[in-house]
This record gives sequence, C-alpha cells and structure tokens, in this order.
Amino acid sequence: MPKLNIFFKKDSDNYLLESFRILRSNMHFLEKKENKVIIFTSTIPNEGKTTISANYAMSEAVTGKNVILVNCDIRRFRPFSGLKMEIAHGIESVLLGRKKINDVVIKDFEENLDLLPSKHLNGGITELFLGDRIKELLEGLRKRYDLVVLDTPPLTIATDAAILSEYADGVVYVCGYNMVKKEKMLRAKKILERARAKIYGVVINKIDEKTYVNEYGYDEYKYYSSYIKK
Amino acid sequence: MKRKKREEDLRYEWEDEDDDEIELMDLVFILIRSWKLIVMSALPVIVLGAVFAMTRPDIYRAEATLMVSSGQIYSVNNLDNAEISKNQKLVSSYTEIAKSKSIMRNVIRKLDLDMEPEEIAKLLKVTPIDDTEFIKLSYTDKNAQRAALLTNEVAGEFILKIKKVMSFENLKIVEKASVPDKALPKKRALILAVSLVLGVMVGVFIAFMLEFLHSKLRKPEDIEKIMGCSVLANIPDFNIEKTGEK
Repeated sequence: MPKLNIFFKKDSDNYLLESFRILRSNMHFLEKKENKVIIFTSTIPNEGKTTISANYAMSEAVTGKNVILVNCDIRRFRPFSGLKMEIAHGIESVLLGRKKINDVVIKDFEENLDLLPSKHLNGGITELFLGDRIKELLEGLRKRYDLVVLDTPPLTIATDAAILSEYADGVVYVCGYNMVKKEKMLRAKKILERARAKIYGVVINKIDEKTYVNEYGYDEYKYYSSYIKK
Repeated sequence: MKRKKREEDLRYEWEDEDDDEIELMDLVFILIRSWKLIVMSALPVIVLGAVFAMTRPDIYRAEATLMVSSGQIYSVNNLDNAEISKNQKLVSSYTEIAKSKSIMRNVIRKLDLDMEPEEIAKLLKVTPIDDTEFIKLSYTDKNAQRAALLTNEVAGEFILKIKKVMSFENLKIVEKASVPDKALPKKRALILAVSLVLGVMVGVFIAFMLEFLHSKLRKPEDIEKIMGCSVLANIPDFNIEKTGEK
C-alpha cells in the first residue's frame, strides 16, 4: 500500500532532507514563476513518486508557501493509506459533478499544506481528465494556491500525466534506481513528448546506501550531524 | 562566420566527451558491487580444486641404470676412443628398442599382470644420459614394490632383446632399481593456487556478463540521455535515515 510518508519537518536536521532541499532549489532555478502547477510521474509502480511529490510539496510549504497536493491516481483501490481520517469523496466526485471542490479538500493536512485526495473509481477514468471540469478545477486551484502538486499514476499504467500536462507548467519525472528498463523509460518519454509536455527534470530515487556513498559521491552525510552540532 | 564555427567546435568537443567510454572506476564499482557473486562463483571451483588436491594418491618412481659397453676387458693402456664413441652412439638406438611392445608383453607374461603393453609403456621412461654410455630406466606406480619390480624386469627383458637383435652382449645393469621410500611430490599448493585463480576469473567473468546484460537503469548520465533533461536530485533509500538524527 502506498503510504503518504511526509518526513520533511521544519525542525528536522536529517541529511536525507538535504536531497529535497536540493530538489526545491533546482525547481526554483528552472523556472521562476508564481502559482505553479507541477506534475510528478514515473515509469512503473513503486518507484517512490508519491513520497517524492508529498515531501517536495512539504518542503515548499515549510517556506511559507500555500501548497496543495492533489492525488490524481484514481486507479489505486486505496490511495494514501496513511491518512487518519476516512476518505468519503475525492477528486473523482468533483470531476463527476457530484461535489464541490471546497467540500472535498482537506484543509491544513500539514502546516500550509492542503490535500485533495482521491477515491477508487471503476471504469471511464481517463475520460474524467479529458473534460472541461479538470481544466476549471486546476485553474481554480492555481489561482488559490502558490503551488499545486499533482501526483499521477505511472506512465506505463496510465497516460494521465500526459493528459494533465496540458494544464500544468511542467513534469518532474521520478526514476527508481535500478528499477526501470531502458526501453520502458523511452516509451514513457515518447508519451510525454507526444503530449508536448515540458519535462523539468528527473529525480533518481531509492539509491542504495553503498552506491549513494561510493558512486554518487555523497559521503558527506556521515559528517552531517557532527558538523551541525559544531 | 567565426562565431558559428566556434559554436560548432564546442558542440563537437562536447559530443566527444559524451561518448560511451567505460571508465576504469566503473569497472572497479562493478567488481565492488558484485563481490558476493564473485565469491559465490569462485567457491565451487576452489572446493573442487581442494578436493582434487587432497585426494591425489601417492605415486612412487623406481630407477635403474644400464650401461652400453663391449665385452672386452679394458685396461688403462688399451682405452680406444673409437670404441667409446661407438658405444655412445648405440645408446640412442638402444633407447628406442627399450620401449618395444615385445618387451612389455614378455614382462606382463612373466609377472602374470592384468595390464596392456601400452599401459606399461606410458609409465615407463627411458632416458639416455647425454655424452655417456648410460641409459636410465624409470617406472612410476602407486605401489612402491611393484614400481621397483617392474623396472628391474623391463631392464632384464631389455638386455635379452639386445642380445637377440645385436647378437652380442654389450648391455649391462650398473645399478638395479631399489624400492623407493619417498613418494613423488603432490603439488597441492600449486593446485590450490591455480584453482583459486581460475575461480576468481570465472566469478569476474560472470559478474561482467551480468552487468553488461543488465537493462535496468542506474547511472544518472544514462537517465539524462534518455529523458533529454537534467537530474534535479538524487534521493537515497530511506534506510539511510537511521544513520541521521530526527
């Protein structure tokens, strides 16, 4: 079960969080723009896309921005199993016209971070993102929030990220270390290219410790704690 | 015009740097990452080598020395260079006769052995000692007594054969084969060393084969090339979180 694992806290001094600060800084350098809508997607399931998008959203919320995390993955039966409250309705109800956006958004899920969850829906899912309602929904969110983060299903499972990229500023691609075949990634990239999506960049996730230290050269984390103390 | 050329040159150089070059460090990392696989592949080969080295049987070699000489009685004043020279040349001829099948067959019949003439010939070694009138006969066997016995019997049959063929007696036993007391060296250390090297080579070969057949992406450069954009961040596995503070 995908768990909404937000560990980016304001008072934490974990070296792992530096990775998300780097991601946040790079996102700022890429495009200095107000009221962004950013899509997070990946190639295959279990690459860690939800965790990356949630913690990236949290890292922006910590700076004082007004952020909303939207779960556009309606295909999963039980999304965000870590939530304490029971999800009665989600984004699919808004797109079907059954609910209004204000009734569905979870306010102050974290400080400065709202959450628009989703609920499992059978059949006709892709068509939800092809109507006018999704456009109105995203434009409304863009006006109200400083940052809108869309968590979408993997591209080999569904092309929702490509469809939604029409209304977004850019796509962040999450790649699990030693998880994706080259051919699959190429196929996913072509899907995004055909949709004329703007790819901001790639986040490589789940790098094992030895590789992270030896081959990627990130051995500073061993000295991070003592450095902070001094 | 100049600006365009410079830009093109820069692109060309950049493209050169982007070529697929296997760096030495990449090979080292492959070995570091695959050390368990290499060890597991090498172990069977090393174990086989160890078993082979431990189970080698004792082998004994018995030696006899023969001499080609004329029947005449020598005296110091009567030494003939031509005679000695002729005898030395005979040594080479006699060496070939020593391994004939009839000699082997006679030895087998005499000792009632359950062996083929070729088997004895394989283990028999006939060595002319250069520039001398001596011939060395040696035989190796697992049984020390049998080694000595066979050596002496072959020597005896050899002398009889020469007597028939050459019609004179000019071959004599200088020293009979005695029962050897020490076995030949087993070379266990050498066998172990060779099996260790072979095992590691097999392991490294398998590791490199698996690495180059591996199709799942690892390197940031490969991912950037496919996606056509840069890497925004590298996120370690969350287990690393344990080493930090919360």
